Order: sequence, then C-alpha cells, then structure tokens
Amino acid sequence: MIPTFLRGYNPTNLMASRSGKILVVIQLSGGNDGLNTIVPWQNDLYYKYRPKLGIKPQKVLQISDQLGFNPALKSLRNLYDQGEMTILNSVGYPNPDRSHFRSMDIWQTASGSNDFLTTGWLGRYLDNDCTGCQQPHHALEMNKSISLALRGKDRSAFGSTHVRSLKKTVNNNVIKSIPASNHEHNETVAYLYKTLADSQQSANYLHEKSRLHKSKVTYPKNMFAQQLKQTAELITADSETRIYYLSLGGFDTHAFQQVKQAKLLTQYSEAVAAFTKDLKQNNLLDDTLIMTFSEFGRRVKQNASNGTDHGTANNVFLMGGNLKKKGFYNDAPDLVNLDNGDLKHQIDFRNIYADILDNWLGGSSTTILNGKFNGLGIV
Amino acid sequence: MHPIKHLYARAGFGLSPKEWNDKTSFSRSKAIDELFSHAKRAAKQPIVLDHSIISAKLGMSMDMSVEMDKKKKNKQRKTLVARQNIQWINRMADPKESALLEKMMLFWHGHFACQPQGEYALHYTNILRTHALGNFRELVHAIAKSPAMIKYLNNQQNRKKSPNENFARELMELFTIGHGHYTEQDIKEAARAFTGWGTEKSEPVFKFSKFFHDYGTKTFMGKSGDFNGEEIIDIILKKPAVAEFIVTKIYYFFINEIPDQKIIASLSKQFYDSDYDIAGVMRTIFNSDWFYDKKNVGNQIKSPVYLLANLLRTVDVKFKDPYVLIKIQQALGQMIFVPPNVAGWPGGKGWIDNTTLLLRLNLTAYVFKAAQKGFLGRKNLSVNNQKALRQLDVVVSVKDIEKILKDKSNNDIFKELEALLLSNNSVYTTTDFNALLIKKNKSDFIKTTILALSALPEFQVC
Repeated sequence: MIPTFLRGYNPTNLMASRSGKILVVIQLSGGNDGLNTIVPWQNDLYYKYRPKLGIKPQKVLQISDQLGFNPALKSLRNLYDQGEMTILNSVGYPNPDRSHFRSMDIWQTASGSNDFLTTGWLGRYLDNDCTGCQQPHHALEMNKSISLALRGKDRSAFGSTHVRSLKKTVNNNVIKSIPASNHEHNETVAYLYKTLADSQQSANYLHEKSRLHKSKVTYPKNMFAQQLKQTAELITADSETRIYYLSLGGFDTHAFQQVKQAKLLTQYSEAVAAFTKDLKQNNLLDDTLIMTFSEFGRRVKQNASNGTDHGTANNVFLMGGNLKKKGFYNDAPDLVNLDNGDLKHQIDFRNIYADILDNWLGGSSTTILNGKFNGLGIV
Repeated sequence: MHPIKHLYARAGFGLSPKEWNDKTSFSRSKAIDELFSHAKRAAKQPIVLDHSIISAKLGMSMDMSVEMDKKKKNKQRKTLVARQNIQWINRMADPKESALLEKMMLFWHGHFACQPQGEYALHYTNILRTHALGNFRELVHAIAKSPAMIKYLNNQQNRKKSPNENFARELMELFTIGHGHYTEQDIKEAARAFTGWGTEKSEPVFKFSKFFHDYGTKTFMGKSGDFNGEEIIDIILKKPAVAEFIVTKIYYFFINEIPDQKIIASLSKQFYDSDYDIAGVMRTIFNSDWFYDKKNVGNQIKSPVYLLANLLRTVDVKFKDPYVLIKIQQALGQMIFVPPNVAGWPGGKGWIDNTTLLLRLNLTAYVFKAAQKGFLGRKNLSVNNQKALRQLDVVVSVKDIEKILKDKSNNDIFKELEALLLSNNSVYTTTDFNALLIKKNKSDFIKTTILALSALPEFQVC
C-alpha cells in the first residue's frame, strides 16, 4: 500500500486542471418508447398506429406545432423554455439490433452493428485524451459495477452507488491488513496492487469531496434523484470528475405501458429538474452537458397488450447552459417510410458523440470512434 | 511455483488441500495421465439434473410438461438454468469430478458463447461434456444443431423466403475461422444452407424443416453446390486457418495473453493434421517445458467462476442457500450460461475494476464472517456489508487442512498455506499479518491465515 504520508499527495493531482466542462450521461435502460415521450401529436398516423396507447392531443404538452411532451415530462418544460434543452429526433444507427444487450453494447462502445468492441467510447476517451486522468475518479459511475461505456484499455471509471459510504469499503480491516507492496511482482500482480492503490486514493478523494457541499435544493427521495444530488454536490465541490454516468431502468414496456412509462418519466424529469436547478443556482449549468439516451426506441404500432415491442431509432436529449442548437434539432420522426414497422434513423448517434468528444470534452473523436463522424453543431 | 500446482491451476481449478498433499509428489507425466484418463471417463457420463438443489428461490417444480401461465413458465425456465449453473460450480469445486473436463467445458462455453433457456441448458452442457476433449469438428456440428444455439442466434427464423444471417455470421466470425477469411457474400450463401434448421417445440431436439430449406445452388468460399449446413461446416474446417484460430484462443485461455507465434504455429499444425483432435493438442501443451516457463506462471487473473470454484475447493464451504453462488457470480461479473454476448467473456484485466477488485479481495472475509459459529476472528472483520452477500448462511470447515497439518508449528502451517494459496515463492511471514491472525487454537489460526492470504492481490492470479 502507498505509505500514508504519500497518500494525500499526488503530483498529477496538482497538475491536473479541469477544463471546466463536465459531461453527465443518463442512460434509460430497457428501450424507452420515444414516440410516447416526444409525441407527434399532429400526425394522424401516430393515432392510427396507437389507438389505445396514443397520448391524446389535449393531454400532450404541446411544445411545437409538430411535437409535444408526454405530460409526465412537465418538470422539464421550464428547461425547454429557457433554451437549456436540445431534442434530437430519430437517432439510431445502420442495421439496428433489437436485442437489449447488443444494442446497449453498440451505443456504449460506439461500434458498428456487426462489430464487438471491448472498450467503451468514454473509456477510450479516458485512455487517449483525458490528460491528467490517471486516477479512476475522473469518471464516476453511480453503479455497483462499471459499464462498458466507461471501460478503456488502460483506464476505467470509478463505480460507487453511494459516495459517502466509500470510506468503509476501501478501509476495512481486511484491506488494511494487506502489507505494503515491497516485493517483486510480475506485471499482472503489480497491476492489481496499482489498481487497489488507485481505488483507495480515488475513494478517499471522492469521499472528502462529497462532504464539502450540501445541496440546497430539494430532490425527490428515490435512488435516481439522490444519485443526481450526489453528482451535483460533487460538481459544486469542484471534484476533478469530468464524466458522471447514471442509469434509470424499467423502460422495457411490452405491456401496460401508459402507467409504467409515465411513472418513470416523472421520476426522470423531476430529478433532472432538481439537478439543473441546483447547478444553475451555483452557476455551474454552463459548464455541464447532460446527455440522455436509450438503447433503442420501440415499434410504431402498439401491441395487443397495450404496450410496445423493441424498435429502433429514438430521441436523444441534451441539456445544459451552453447549447448551440436549442429546442428541436430536427423534424419529427417519419411515420410514413418505416423499416418493417420501425422508425428509420435520421441521425447516427456517433455524430452526437463526435460533437461531444471534439467540442465539449476536448478529445479526438476520429481516434476514439475509429473513424470520422461529423459533429452536428450542437455543443 | 511448484510445476504440478501450475498444471492443476491451468488444467483445472487448483488443488484442494488433500490433493495438494497427495499430488505434488507426482511426476509431470503421472499427473497428466491421471487428468486425461479421469476426463475420458467423465466425458462418457452425461450430466443429469440434481433435484436436491432446492431453496426458497429454487423451489418450484422443474417438470417442464406441467401447465403454467407464461410468467410462471419463464420463471421455471430461469430456475432450471440457475440450477444447472449451481451444479456446474459444484462440479468445478469437487475434487471427485474431472477438473480438466470441467475446465475444457468452461473454455468451450466461452467460445461457443450462448445463453441457453430452460431445458436447453442441460442439453448444451452435455454437448460440451461429450466433445470438450474430443473432436472439434464433431463439437461444431453438435453445437450448430443444438436448440440452445439455434435459439440464441435466431436460426429457427432462418427460412428460404427470409434468410436470417445471424448464425452463419457468428459461425465463421467467432466459432471457426475469424475475420478476414470469408466475404459478406459467403455469409449470405451459408445462411441459405442453414435454412430449415430449427428445434422441436417442447423438446430440446434438432428439427429439420424441408419446407423452409433452400435447396438451391450456393457458391461458398469458392466452391459451388447445393450445400446443406453440414457441408458448409466441413468446407470451412478444410481451411488450416481454422486450426490457427482455435489454437490461438486456447493459448490465450490456458497459457498466456501474449501469443507466441512459433508455438501457436506448431500446435495449429498438430491440430489440423490430427483432424482436430482436441485432447492431443492439450496433452502436448501440458507436456511441454515452455508451459512451465516462468513467464507463463502466476500471471493470469482468475476469472470470477475460477475464483469461486477455487475458493470452494480450498476451503470446505457449505452455503445453506445454494442460490448464493449465483449472487456471487453476479457481483463478480461472470455468470455461467449468461455471457455478455456471443463473443463470450474477454477475460484478463477486463475482470478488474475498482468495485470488482474490492469485492474479490474481501470475498473470503465475507464468507468467513457469515460462518459465525465458533469463529473467534469475527470481530476483526468489519467488512462493508454488500447487500448481495448480507444474508449469507454458511458453514466453513478446515478439518481437512487441520488433519494434514496436524503436528506442524504455526510458522510451518503458514508456509504450507502460503504455498497452497499463492503463486509466488514464499515471501510473507506471520508477522506481516499480526492484526488478523489468531494464534490461540489451530483451527482459528488456519482460518485467519487463509483469510489473510486470500485477501492479497496475489491470490487473484493463478
């Protein structure tokens, strides 16, 4: 173990300067039904395909003359009106895969539909372009394990469901009993000792930061909202963390979708509203970009169980104080020209990633995405 | 490290204390002969479902013919697979089973990665069992026709009018020859040959539907004919590149992540010339001096399944609720029958991130903490209570070890356990772990020594 007197001092910490830009990724797991989230309330086809499931025009929060919000998103209305939200429609990729695992892997690794990559797009960012990011806490995932998105070849994120209790995990009697590593080790064992030391250092760092600032905004009591609260507190405490990754699950609504999705979207929007309010109060919303995505949208036609099955393209939300294209980025989904009952994608998600990598995180998208994807002028 | 220990680490799941005591005096050839003859016998004994694996979570009727609503049926299928999973972990941990066969089966499960549902899991397991150390050609044919794989890669939807390329693609890309040896057109043509390959509705049995099969001429890898699926497989296997592809994977899994091209070329030639005799190649590997070379020893991160099986093999651990074995796999990031995707488990450093590493280092402590009765070391272990392992109800016994180390001093016991558990040569002494070791009685000294040593990063490699 690193001797105690050296633990707090890490030369790279002193040199690492946060560029000020923070990315928060919110993953809606299960395939959120995009058409009932951003509702094409003026399109007759929508109601033809969804006689029971379609959200009636009078219920929709009518935002533009084509599209509106599911009423459960009402907490985000203010964000939209303030120009702090961008909505991209029909985002997907060629040869879409309708398997949860496959499609999620494709989004997380930014691979082609037929390629299997073992590192994630953000993991590769950590490897290649995140200067001063040797410590794992530069990317934090609010989860028990690290998603593929955040796994690089050499670096990966730090994972924790509850930052305040981190100290107990890394400083219990068993871990403390591991003697200082002063023996010769082969490369693999040396790697394990280093990972342990890094984990302890990052855990201690995050634990300290998490105690510096208590949020003044009220967040809902559920776990997702509380994780966003922890995120806000860490950002406000000026943590060196550049990327935060959160997930909200349950969106695989094959049956009785109306109620289930409404509940989840309410949870999502209320938490995000509190989060953005918190950041804004501390003048940090301009430095923050929140990206929300799901591994696929769902089929245009509802099924016999008042739900929907796995589909393809979906919408992506960006939120923050520094958006270049506020409001709806592109037209409502095309419900006429479908691909076997599914939406055809208009935007490849890797173009969004390219924009974020090149213009927000200060990376090189061509290297990280293994190819040139043009940005969209969104950040 | 003792060469026999290295052999059993790679050809199996490590040595139980009794095996450690008995087998380290074996010559290399005696140990290898025993491993292979045991495996040969075991391969002839198919696995049957163990109905005694029961608990609150696993208690429902496993009779697939019983009528149930869809939700219950799905639960039944999941439970059936969970039981198969637990049975396999138990086999890996049990010295009476063939460690070599189980390890080869685990390798092939990662290679022919699939997520079998319900009864298909048992059928799939037995295909692996029969052919794991047999002939690769027969193994490919059997897997290609297994309901587990047909279902997983949607081949039952592959029909003349609307071909589904999924199986044909993965067959070439992942299972036999790898990228660069076939074209997209080859995939399309091969898919046509596999049309009509499906399964019976309620039994795990292959079913060929003439009605859905495309009998037309296909042009595949430069050859033309009205090929069926079996013929496609045989055309692929005619290419020496297949032997190289498979041997490279074997090298990675059993020897070293860094390939040695000369050795791989030599083994590939043997594999190809023997018409894909798997046992032959494995024997050559274990018999070679280079296998025991320092650079190949103690440098492989144990997979979660290996870690678990190895721990159970070393210490006599009995969980009251066998479902705990599933929970531990979940927490560590590898679950048998649930690979992340058809490419299997990447392995190596991929097993390690800050959450899994901390759990691994604490694993023995969690297990011991839960085995409370008479274990005086309890108050030393203020480990973080991870929700998944909080309600462990387990009995731990070190009687075997106590018997073997009966008249030895504490220092000697420590040295023996260090040699048993760790891969490096002896570097630690009892003074390194004064805070954890309890010296009052032999049983607690042994337990706390095991605890201390298995909490080291060194225990994570084999």
